This record gives sequence, C-alpha cells and structure tokens, in this order.
Amino acid sequence: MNQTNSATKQFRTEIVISYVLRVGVILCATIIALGVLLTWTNSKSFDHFSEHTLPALTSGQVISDISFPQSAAEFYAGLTTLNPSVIIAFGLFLLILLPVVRVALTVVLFFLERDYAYLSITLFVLCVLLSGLIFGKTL
Amino acid sequence: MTSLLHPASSAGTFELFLLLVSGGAGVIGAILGLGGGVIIVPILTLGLGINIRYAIGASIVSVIATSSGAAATYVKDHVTNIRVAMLLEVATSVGALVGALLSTHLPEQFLYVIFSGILLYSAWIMMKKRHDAIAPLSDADYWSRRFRLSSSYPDRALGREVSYAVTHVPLGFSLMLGAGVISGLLGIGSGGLKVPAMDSAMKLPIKVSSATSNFMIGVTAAASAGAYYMRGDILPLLAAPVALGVLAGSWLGTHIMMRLHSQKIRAMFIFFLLIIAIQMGLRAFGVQVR
Repeated sequence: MNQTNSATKQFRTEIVISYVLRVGVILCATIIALGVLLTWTNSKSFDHFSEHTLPALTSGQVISDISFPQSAAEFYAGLTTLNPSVIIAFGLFLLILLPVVRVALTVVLFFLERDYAYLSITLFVLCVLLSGLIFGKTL
Repeated sequence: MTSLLHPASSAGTFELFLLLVSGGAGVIGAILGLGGGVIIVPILTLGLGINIRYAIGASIVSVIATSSGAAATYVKDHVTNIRVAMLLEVATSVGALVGALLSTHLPEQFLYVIFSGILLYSAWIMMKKRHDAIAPLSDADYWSRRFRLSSSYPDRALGREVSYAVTHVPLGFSLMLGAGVISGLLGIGSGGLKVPAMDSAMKLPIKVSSATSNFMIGVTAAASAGAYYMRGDILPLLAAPVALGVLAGSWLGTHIMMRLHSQKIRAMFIFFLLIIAIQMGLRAFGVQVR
C-alpha cells in the first residue's frame, strides 16, 4: 500500500464521518427546535410549564408528574399526535445516539478499508459501549 | 426572586438565559476539549436553584452536544486525530465500565480529593510546558508506528500545516484508563484529564489534543446517558435550550479555536483546570454545588 493511497483513504473516512455528524447534528437541532416551538404555540403545554413545572424546577424540587416517553410505542404515539415534549425527547434521543452511530460507522469504514487492526479496535469499543448501554438500563 | 430580571421570572427569560449560558459553555467546551459541565452544573444549581439531578442530566446532554457539534468541524478540517481517538477510546470505555461497576465500594469524598489532586498536578505540568515544542517524527515509539498515529493538522493561526509525532503511547493509554475509571465512578466527563494526557504525555499539539478529546467525550457520555434518561433526569424543556445553545456555541467555538494561538488555548485550559479542581475539592468537603 503506497503513501498517497493510504492518505486518500484516511481523508475519505474523515469526510464521511464529518458529513454524518453534521447531518445528524442539524437533524437533531431541527427536531428539538420544532418541539420547543410547538410548546410555545400550544397554550396548554406552555401554561403548564410556566405556571407549574418552572416554579417547582427553580426551587430545587424533583418533578414528580413529568412524563417522558420510554418505549417505541410511546414515542410513536407522541410523535404522530405532535406532542411537544415527545418531539423534544425524540430529538434528544437521536442526539444521544449520534456518538454510538459514529462508532458503528467507523467500524464499517475500517472494514471497507480492510484496516483490520483498527476494525478490531472500533468493534471492541462498540461492544463495550453497547454492553454499557444495556447494563445501564438495569442500573 | 420576583424581579423581572431574574432568569426564572418567566418561561421566556428562563429559556433565553439557558440558551445563552449553554452557548457560552459550547464555545468554551469546543475550544478546550471539555464537555461544558463545569459551567452548566454550577449555573443551573447555584444560579437557578435547580436540583442537582436535573443539572447533571442537562450537563450529560451538553457533553454529547459539544462533542458532536465540535467534531463535525474538527474532523472535516483534519484537526481531530481519529486513530488516536479510536485507540484511546478502548481505554476510556473499559475504564468507564470498570468505574461504574466499582462505584458503590469506594467513598466518594476520597475520590473527589484524588481527582482534584490529579487536576492540580496536570495544571502544574501544563504550566511548566511553556512552549509548544512538537516532537520530531523520530520520537514516535513502537506503538505509535504500529498504529500509524503520527499525523499533521492545518494551523490557521500559524498559516501552515504542522506535522507532529505521537509518543509514549503506553503511558497515554494508561492515563486514559484512569480517566475512564474516574468518569465511571463519579459520573462526570473527564475532558480535563484527557487533554493533559494527550498534550503532556503523548506530545500531541494542544489543538489536536482538544479536538481529539472533544471527539472522545461524547462516546463516554452516551454510554451513561441512557441510564440518566430512563431515570427521568433529562427534562425535555430544560435539556432542549441547553442542547440548542451548546450546538450553536460549539460550532462557533471550533472556528475561534482554529484561529487562536496554541499558547492562548493552553493558558485558558490551565485556568479551567483550576476551576474544576476547586469545584471537585469543594465536593470532597461536602459542598455540593447546589
């Protein structure tokens, strides 16, 4: 493998990763902003936030009646009815997922480059990450 | 508390204040390779009286947003060293998992004292290293050559491409393992430890260290974010302005950082290391920033 070839490949990997990150970040920001916008235009959810949640939040309380989607079904139901907090939660969920997607993407890219040393490294990191996510759920 | 100027006086000022603060945290985080928790947590707890649970939930979101937001630019402009990041992520992810498993068996106060001490030591080491002397390529060690870690980056402040060698890979790897254990134990990001490990031990240029740390912190934070979300610590209307502010701020921060001289970044970094050391020291004496 000659030097130029290897340099071009590294370059391509970086372009793909940065492109995916940029698209991901813009997508998440748009979804979150849409959710915030809907909260502000929906007088019911806005009043609930400003009169109930905000005073409790800024006096150090733990909010007991907060509802957040925890399953795919709840996400689906909230998204199809344009529930503002479900839309925000979905955007945040995608944002949290982005670093994991980035690691998975590097696994694929190193595989395509037939760079087996780095393929095993990224695959190992992905496994640790996923086991941490699964482990974290039962914590 | 009823003053109209107080950030919590209305939902509008509250969200706007959060957006601005998070923007600032994003700028600083992107320049220094930190997650921004050092700024977000005290402002939410001390400034706005928000419960520490939600402040930590918001800071996790901030770390992930800074990481992805900054990496989008740094990777494209070849400032991030992806190979170094991937290799060191082996150490940080294993360390974080071990730390999370150990967490209940060690007294937290003791950990905060240790962490604070390490930060002060890192600040001292970085202060001693006044000049950004780049290691010659001949200095690259066996592991550095084996994993092709040495690279180059475009320095806009200098107006040229800077080639650098990576050295002391085993030392850097061990330090990253320690940084991972600390983030797993204390549930904090450890950009404050990652940057000195790359800068002082592995001899990476400060800009590459910061960009590479930025790239890495999101992965560590994402591993624990799932647990925080399921516990209900990530409140949508608190995390939303934080995420949006940080994403915009980190984009701005990357463009500022690439034009700054390395010495300025180093000085800023040392200053923030001292602030984190003080925060962690206070926690050791039971002063929870709340």
